[in-house]
Amino acid sequence: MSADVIIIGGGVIGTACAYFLARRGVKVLLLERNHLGSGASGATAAIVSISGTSGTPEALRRLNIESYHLILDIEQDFDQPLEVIQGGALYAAMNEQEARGIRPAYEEVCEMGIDAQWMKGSEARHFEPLLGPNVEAAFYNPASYHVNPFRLYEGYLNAALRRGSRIEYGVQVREVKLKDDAIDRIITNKGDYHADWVVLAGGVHTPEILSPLEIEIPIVPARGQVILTEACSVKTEHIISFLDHLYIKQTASGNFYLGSHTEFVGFENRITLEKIANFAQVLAYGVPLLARLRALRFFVGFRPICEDNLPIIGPLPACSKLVIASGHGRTGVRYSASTGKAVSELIVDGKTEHPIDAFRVERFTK
Amino acid sequence: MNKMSETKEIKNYRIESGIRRGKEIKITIDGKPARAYEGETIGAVLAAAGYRKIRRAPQRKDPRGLYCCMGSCYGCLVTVDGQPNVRACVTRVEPGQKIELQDGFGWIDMDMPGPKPGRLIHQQTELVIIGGGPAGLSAAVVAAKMGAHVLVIDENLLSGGQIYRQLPQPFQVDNPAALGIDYADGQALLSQVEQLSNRITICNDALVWAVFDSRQLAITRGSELVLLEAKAIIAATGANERPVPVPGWTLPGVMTAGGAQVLMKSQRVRPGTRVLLAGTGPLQLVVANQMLDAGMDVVAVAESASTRSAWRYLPDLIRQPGLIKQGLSYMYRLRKTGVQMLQPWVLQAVEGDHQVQRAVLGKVDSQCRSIPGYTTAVDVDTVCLGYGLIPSVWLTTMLGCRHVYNPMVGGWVPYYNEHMQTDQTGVFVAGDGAGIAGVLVARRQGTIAGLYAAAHAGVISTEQAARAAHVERRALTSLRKFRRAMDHVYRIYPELYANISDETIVCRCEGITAGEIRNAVRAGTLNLNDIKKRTRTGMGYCQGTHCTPVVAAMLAREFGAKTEDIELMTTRPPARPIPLSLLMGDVKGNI
Ligand SMILES: Cc1cc2nc3c(=O)[nH]c(=O)nc-3n(C[C@H](O)[C@H](O)[C@H](O)COP(=O)(O)OP(=O)(O)OC[C@H]3O[C@@H](n4cnc5c(N)ncnc54)[C@H](O)[C@@H]3O)c2cc1C
Ligand SMILES: Cc1cc2nc3c(=O)[nH]c(=O)nc-3n(C[C@H](O)[C@H](O)[C@H](O)COP(=O)(O)OP(=O)(O)OC[C@H]3O[C@@H](n4cnc5c(N)ncnc54)[C@H](O)[C@@H]3O)c2cc1C
Ligand code: FES
Ligand code: FES
Repeated sequence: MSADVIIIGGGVIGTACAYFLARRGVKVLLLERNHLGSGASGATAAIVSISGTSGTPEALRRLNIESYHLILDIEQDFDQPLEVIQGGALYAAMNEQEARGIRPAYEEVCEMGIDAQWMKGSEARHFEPLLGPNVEAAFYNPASYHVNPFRLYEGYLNAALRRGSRIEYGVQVREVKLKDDAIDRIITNKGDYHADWVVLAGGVHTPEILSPLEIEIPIVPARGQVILTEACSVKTEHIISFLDHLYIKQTASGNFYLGSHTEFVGFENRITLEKIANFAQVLAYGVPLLARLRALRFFVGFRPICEDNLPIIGPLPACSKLVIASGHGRTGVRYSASTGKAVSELIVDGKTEHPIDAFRVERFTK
Repeated sequence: MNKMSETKEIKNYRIESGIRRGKEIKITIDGKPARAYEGETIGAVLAAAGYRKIRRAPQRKDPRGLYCCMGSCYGCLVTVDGQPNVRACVTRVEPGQKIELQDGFGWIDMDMPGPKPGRLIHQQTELVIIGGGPAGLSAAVVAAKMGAHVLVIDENLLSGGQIYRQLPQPFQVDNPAALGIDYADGQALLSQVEQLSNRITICNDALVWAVFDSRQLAITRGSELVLLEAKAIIAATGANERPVPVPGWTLPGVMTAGGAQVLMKSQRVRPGTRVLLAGTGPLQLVVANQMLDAGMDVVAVAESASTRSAWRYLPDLIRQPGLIKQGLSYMYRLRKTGVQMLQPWVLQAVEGDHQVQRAVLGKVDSQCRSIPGYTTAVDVDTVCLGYGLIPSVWLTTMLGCRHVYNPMVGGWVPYYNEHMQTDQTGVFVAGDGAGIAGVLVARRQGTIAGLYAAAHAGVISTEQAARAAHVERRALTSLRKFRRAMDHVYRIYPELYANISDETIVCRCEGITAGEIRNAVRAGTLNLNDIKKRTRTGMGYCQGTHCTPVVAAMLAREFGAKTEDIELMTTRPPARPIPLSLLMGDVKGNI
């Protein structure tokens, strides 16, 4: 069993890498231990914005703008629509202090060339009638949309499969054996695999796969709990965000997706009453409609997050044929297209269009 | 339209014998006054007034009506006093109510007062029993007799579970005999519960919807959010009906056999006029007889199993001569009344313009394979599907119990030992939720579970429990042999699922067709969670109860997956949708 490139992990990053490599004519084999999107990508809100409340580190700005446009462009190459809802994002503040708190984010969005808008509470309510009377101020970032994440990674994958790539499910990679600067073999629960290159996109499990090589990378699971409501006839195309990264978006099917705190609790996957009640309250304070809806589902996802909030994109110092693409934290969907593109350039051209030095593994291993 | 309302006026779907209803009250349906009585559900009022179509589904705009009648399918959503998506079949009518039929999701009126924020209550008890059916109540009675304090939680408005369905309080019973033997048995059990009311607390209209911190049960009761801890837990959560789709099965007028029974037994309303029952097992005969009692025209009963193999199991079957005799007498009466008894035949399709008008049936062989050339059609307005039951294991899954696959008792069931204890210490099971085995087994298992749970809670010693459980166990052995024989005779063959065309809706909630599911499978997945994400199958109100078993059956029959290898879909809270307002109270301060 062999291929030019083996990608480990069928999340949004692994499938994006497969897609961009396949577009360059590379034969890819994707190995997924469970099923498509069984990691963070299956729980995500899939919001793609230029900038946002958390601020975009300088190093990521070019990829941010590139990825934002790329995802919209490649939809044409997909066999199913992405269910893009391109209504922009509203960041709401519930009091003076919060208003001061979101101001820097507003300024950053403007700085990145986006025509953002600052609004008083009453203007904001006029602009978005779902906002309740408690909203003090808000700003609007038109450069924000969300997609159906399942369609996105399914789209990346299917477009790669059409170009001759393959995927195998139920294959868990245990170790990647190296031989000098080359890949010796990939050891899995289903036997050994061979490839010239390996792309490691195992999300929160990436560190495990590297540990036999005695390489430690600081990617940890950052849990997010999510509430999905029943579908509803009241419609909004805006993403509505509040402090602490809490936000709502309405899916194409009419359900509201409510997310989400960032918790560092390992892989504990039970929902907790305290957190879901807390963020349901915060969100319903801003959007009173929510108090009238029912929750259809509660679930959790684990974002693969790096300690310095930057992803890891680039080859291992010990072996230039083993490329890591992981640790995108809260914004893996946003950066999926750029990451896939950069990885494909790295493998095919040996260099990338946009610099990725800031994302190298060496920043942790020196 | 006019013609419809004409038939509505001349028909009286209410069964008047045996009971007197509560006070007549005034309500409106779509602005028009409708007849309603205290104690009736909105669903019963609609059925009694001749409404078949209750709403149009949001996705495909196809008409839907009452289907399960027990609050599990969410097919009957109506708007009540400005609040959309209320389940008609489990919501009581109130004087002055304005009921509107929905097109799609319904409209939320923000000018109406919103729901009250939830109130958090912490509670502790010795023994909690989830499910107030025969299993749960039997457990409660014996445990209370032994001295335990017991709390019984059930989401139904009334105790009794499926078979012992009671009538709402405002109804008065003049002639209990007209209500059948199950009603009497239920009354007898409930009066035992009543006598022990100093130790048994019954909590109805309360749903267990989540399990926090491994053992803390989250319960909704009105606007209360109860967090309950108990020394011992008995899950007696019963079963759901097995969905078997055919083209047209979402049309108004197609119901589950159990749903039809709920209307007749606990609301005294006829589900229709001319009926076909299609399914398998003796339950169908029970329902058909209840329909004759109710004065309905039972056109045909189609049994999918060829019971020719029955003689092979004769020694075990005659262990319960009473039950066999009862079955035969039901059959005799049906034949004598001129009901077409089709066996082995299966339902192939339901047809009709906006509601059931015709049903197409086909003959099958002993393994449920279609025999070409043998089809027939019957003109009916109601089709009842009764293809057996599937254990409801949501709660035991959430409690972390190990489950095993056993198709003979309905599929995935919690593992349990001879104390009815699961692999989770202190968690016991009984009744249909532990494997489909009927009311007699449910009661005995309930008693055993009650005894050992009482022992676990420290109320009696394990020796005491063992002594008292001894007779129950002996009776169970005999019952089990009988039951196993019945399960063989009425087994479910994969070919039962042979009539699902690409256009057939499989996920009723989300309007997903079999064709869409097949496409997802062809794209390379045999995983239920993956199929769910790719197609939305199972993402609806019913949490997949009415579609996941079908997807599993399709994977097995059409794509060669072994049913026991098809993992259960990841179980997540809530058990049923819960209002977010429940989380809006002072939850944080209390934890
Ligand atoms: C609640 C929540 C909300 C979010 N909202 C957003 C948002 O709005 N916008 C945004 O841009 N991002 C968002 N994110 C973040 C984003 O979802 C993640 O960054 C992204 O999904 C990570 O993708 P991935 O492919 O790296 O990891 P994953 O999706 O976790 O994929 C890794 C895959 O690798 C497989 N795997 C692991 N180990 C092995 C092995 N040994 N062998 C084979 N396969 C293996 C796993 O099964 C998994 O499928 C959110 C995340 C969460 C949890
Ligand atoms: C629809 C239907 C009709 C039937 N009709 C007949 C019949 O006519 N004759 C016959 O012999 N047998 C009949 N049976 C079979 C018979 O009901 C069972 O053998 C017997 O009732 C099993 O008893 P049980 O106590 O195990 O479960 P049930 O009687 O089903 O009781 C389980 C109870 O648990 C409650 N529950 C489940 N989950 C929760 C939760 N999360 N929170 C709160 N409450 C919960 C349910 O509301 C239910 O009341 C029928 C079964 C069904 C499903
Ligand atoms: S008919 Fe009301 S929920 Fe099924
Ligand atoms: S039928 Fe309810 S979720 Fe599919």
